[in-house]
Amino acid sequence: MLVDDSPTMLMSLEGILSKAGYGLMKATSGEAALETAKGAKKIDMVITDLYMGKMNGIQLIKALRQLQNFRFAPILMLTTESQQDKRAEAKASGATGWLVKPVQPTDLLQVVRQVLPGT
Amino acid sequence: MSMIASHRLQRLRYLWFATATTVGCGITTAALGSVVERVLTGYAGTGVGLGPGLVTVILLVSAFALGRSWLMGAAGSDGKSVLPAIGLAVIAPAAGEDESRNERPCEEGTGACGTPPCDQRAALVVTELQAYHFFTNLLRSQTQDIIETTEAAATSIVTALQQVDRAISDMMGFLEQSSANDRVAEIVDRTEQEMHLNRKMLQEFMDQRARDATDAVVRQEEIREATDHLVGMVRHVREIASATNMLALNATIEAARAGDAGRGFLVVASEVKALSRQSDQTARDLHSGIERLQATIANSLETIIHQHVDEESKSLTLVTKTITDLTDNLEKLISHQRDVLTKVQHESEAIARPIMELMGSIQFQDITRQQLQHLSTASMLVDDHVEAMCRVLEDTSSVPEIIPLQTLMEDVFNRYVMASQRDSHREAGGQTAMEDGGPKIELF
Repeated sequence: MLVDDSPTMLMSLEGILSKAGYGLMKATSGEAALETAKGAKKIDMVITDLYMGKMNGIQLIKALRQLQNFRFAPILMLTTESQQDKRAEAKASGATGWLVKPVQPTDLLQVVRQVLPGT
Repeated sequence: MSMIASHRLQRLRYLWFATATTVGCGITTAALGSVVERVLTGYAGTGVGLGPGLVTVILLVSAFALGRSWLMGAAGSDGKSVLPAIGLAVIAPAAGEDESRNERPCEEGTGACGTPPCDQRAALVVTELQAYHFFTNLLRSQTQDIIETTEAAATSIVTALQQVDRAISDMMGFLEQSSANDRVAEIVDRTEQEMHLNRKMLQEFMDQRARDATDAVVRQEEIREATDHLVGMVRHVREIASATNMLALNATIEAARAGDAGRGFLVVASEVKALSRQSDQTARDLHSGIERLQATIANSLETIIHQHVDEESKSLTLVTKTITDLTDNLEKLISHQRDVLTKVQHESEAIARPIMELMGSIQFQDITRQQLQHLSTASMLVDDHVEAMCRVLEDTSSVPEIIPLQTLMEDVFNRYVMASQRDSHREAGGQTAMEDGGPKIELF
């Protein structure tokens, strides 16, 4: 599942990941992502932005980790932010990794393959 | 305020007059008093940084001091004289800062404090500052335009890329289907088999024709043999005839010698001679007849055979060549198609990489959008600050609190979402860039 309030980011990620064969769901806010997550049958991984409207990425991760299906699913932060204290905060909330925008397609695919073996 | 000051001044005058009357120097004090009044009025409007009350106090104290000293005949040690009071009133405006000048409220239209320059300056500044709103709105709407335009451009780029990608996939699918298939190999095999058959048939046909030609030649030979045989026979007959003739001659001679007894013998002998002459003639006729036949047959056979065989041979050779050419071309075509397929495969792989990279580059639009939004927010804060400054100029009763721009800019700094923004902010403020965020990709 891709979470970002920027339609351009969603287009870019969709273009890269669908070409590599991954199925995708999209959400444009933390709240929408949470709703989708609660109702979805199977989401293997989440990539989310940090600064988004009312619910930011770190709050989303905290909420997702409360859900049964998302206790251990890989959740990556993809954001323009690069500060150490924000990274630490994300890590403490349960994020699996941190990617700084813009991300090269080859790098993104490599990270996804690393956290989702067997795909 | 100016009303109060003028009242106070009025009372001061009376006081001085009273004092003067008491001392007896009426005219001097009146003159001195009006000079002081004019001077103080002139300077009071430009502000002192002290309250108007304080100016009044200075005037009163100086008046009392003067009165007292005159009454007592000595300058009071704790009194203030008029001169220092005037001096204070003169010095203070010069010591006042621009800031405090602006903070000192101006009342429009009254004669007491509001001399024209103060009024007009404040009004002018306020008008101009209010016009700043237009600039801010313009900035905001245009940054929004940029965001929308770049987003639309990114979308159209992605759409175009997807179309190219789809076109290449379709082409690849088509090529793979139409050439890597057994269908083509099958067609090639079948064609080659047919070709082989054709060539075999042609060869057999040509062999047959050759055989026919040979047969004809053989038959011709046989005929010639037969006729030669006949000719041989004929010659033989003629030889016999000749021998017989000789014999008859001999017999005639012998008969002549024999006399009467040989007369019967002579008759036989002459009949034999006649017979041999006849055989000879017949033989000769037969001979020439046979020769003629031989010649005829030879001619006609040769003509027929050679002519046809030649022509057929030519056309058959042509047909064989054409079929061979066709097969060669077909093989070349298939080989070429395979080359094209390989090349297209390479090219599409080569294109796939830039397409993927372009998909990634689109992300710059998101970053631009965020930077523009911060610019817009910052301009709104400046707008509010300008509004606050207008209020400061307009408010005539007190000096309102304003949040300094420095503080607002700190707020802007704290709202940044990327290292480059913070570094730019620091550099713009004269500091050095210092962001070191860490690796671009980090797994926890």
